[in-house]
Amino acid sequence: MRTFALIGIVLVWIAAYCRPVASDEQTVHFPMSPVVKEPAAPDDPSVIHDVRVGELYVIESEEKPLLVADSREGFVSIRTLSGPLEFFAKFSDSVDRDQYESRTYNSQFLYVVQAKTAGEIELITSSDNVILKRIMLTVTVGPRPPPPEPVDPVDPVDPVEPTKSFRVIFVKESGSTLSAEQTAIPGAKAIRDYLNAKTTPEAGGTGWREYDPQQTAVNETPTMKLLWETTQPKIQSVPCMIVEVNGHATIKPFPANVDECVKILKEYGG
Amino acid sequence: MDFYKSTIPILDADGPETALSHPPDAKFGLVPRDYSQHPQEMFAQPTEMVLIPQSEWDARYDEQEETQSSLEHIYLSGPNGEPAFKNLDQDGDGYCWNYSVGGSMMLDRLKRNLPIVRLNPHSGAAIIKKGRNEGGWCGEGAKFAREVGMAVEGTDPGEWPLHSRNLKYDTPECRAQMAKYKIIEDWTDLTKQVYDQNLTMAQVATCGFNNIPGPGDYYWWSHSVCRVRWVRIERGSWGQLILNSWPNWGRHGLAVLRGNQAICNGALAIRLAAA
Repeated sequence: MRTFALIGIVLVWIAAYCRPVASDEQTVHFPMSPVVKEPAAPDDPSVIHDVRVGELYVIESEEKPLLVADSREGFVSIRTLSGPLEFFAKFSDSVDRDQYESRTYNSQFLYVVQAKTAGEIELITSSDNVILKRIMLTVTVGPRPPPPEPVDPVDPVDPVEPTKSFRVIFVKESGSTLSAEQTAIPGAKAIRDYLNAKTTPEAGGTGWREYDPQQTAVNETPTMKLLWETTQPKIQSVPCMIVEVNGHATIKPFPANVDECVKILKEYGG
Repeated sequence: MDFYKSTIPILDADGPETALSHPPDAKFGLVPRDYSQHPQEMFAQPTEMVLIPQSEWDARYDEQEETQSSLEHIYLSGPNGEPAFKNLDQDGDGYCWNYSVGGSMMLDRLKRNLPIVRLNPHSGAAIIKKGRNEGGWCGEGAKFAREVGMAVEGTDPGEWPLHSRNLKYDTPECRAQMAKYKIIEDWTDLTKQVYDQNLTMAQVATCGFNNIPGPGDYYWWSHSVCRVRWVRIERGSWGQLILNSWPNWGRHGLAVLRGNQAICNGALAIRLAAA
């Protein structure tokens, strides 16, 4: 009995103080989504894409030094440290991110990213002038906003499902000259009135936009930002129209005129 | 005085000078562009713009009227025909050259259905002129808006108080806020010296039919205002609908320039602001 208890204590100690080393062919370890119930790490754990103020976002490299850079100045601090190092802190990849915990990082090269100002940055990791990984990182300062609704740009809409969310983005190159009929979209009163009445409100506004194909959405509402970031890379040609219903987004050809546009919108928004 | 749509006044060069064209307390502030300081290369060329030929103007205008899709309609889409936002007020300073930029940025945001944010062109103008009340031309303000952005009107940290020229508000926090309201894509220089008046008019009309707002400098007026729409006053007669930065003027700041007065001497097209 005493032997079993001793083994148990050792296992708990290992679990608490040793970080599992994920097999990464680049030998660069980003904070990964924690495994809550399953004892084994998932095959393809998701890299953590956000860091909150007060947390440590630790990147490890076992063999080579890295260059870790942020795409926009002022949003995070990046410290370069030498391991092994023990931290007592909150971590971005913890199960309970509000709890302090003690961790030892054994890799030789450690890079600690911490939030400074809320925003969105790209974190770029390179070694020997070769980019190893680029990830988008949401930097949160203050109360954490509610998670935006998931968006799947490829799934079709279930026509019988009641509409819980409805958003529309018209994508037009503002430097282009379209036909008179298409130029009236989405400015036409019939379209604006319908969208203002039907789209899902957020942050005091309504859920539709007109964007340029290269539009930046850094200041956008969380859901509209997510919708744009998810669908923009899938746009094949402009002008086009993105319609999101209940978390499913569809990229549609740009309507020929105002009447056709309203008809299409009503098919989705009711 | 003539009116467009019975409510929007038309400023006529050949008519008598009226209180509308020159209110007693109006401030101007336009200084003609100095090409030695501001060369033609400072803004993108409008060569990519597919011009709308004059033969299409009537059809384009009729379509905008039928569908109520022009910037004029969108601006006047508030409750009971009121504007969606109150036009900016440059008050006692000669900063019209940056208010025409700020008004254009707000119209661009309105067109895109982005949340209405009241920008304060006094911020950029005061920083450019180091707090002095000095004139300029719209390109100066546009360049600053492209590189730095424009502050939000208000008294909270990071905002710029209404009509203030005090540079103490030019803080890092304010600069961070200004960067949120920046011109992301280049502007198009519509009045380069190499172009003649007809081409300038065609470019300005095309912007109007495409709902692209932009500041316009008018030397005859010593004034810079926001260009809103190219409008048909009557068959064969076209004019420039503008949004002024004087309070209680025109119809919610709107008026129409016609004849030679509609030809601007410096104009830019705002194509994209950060969402």
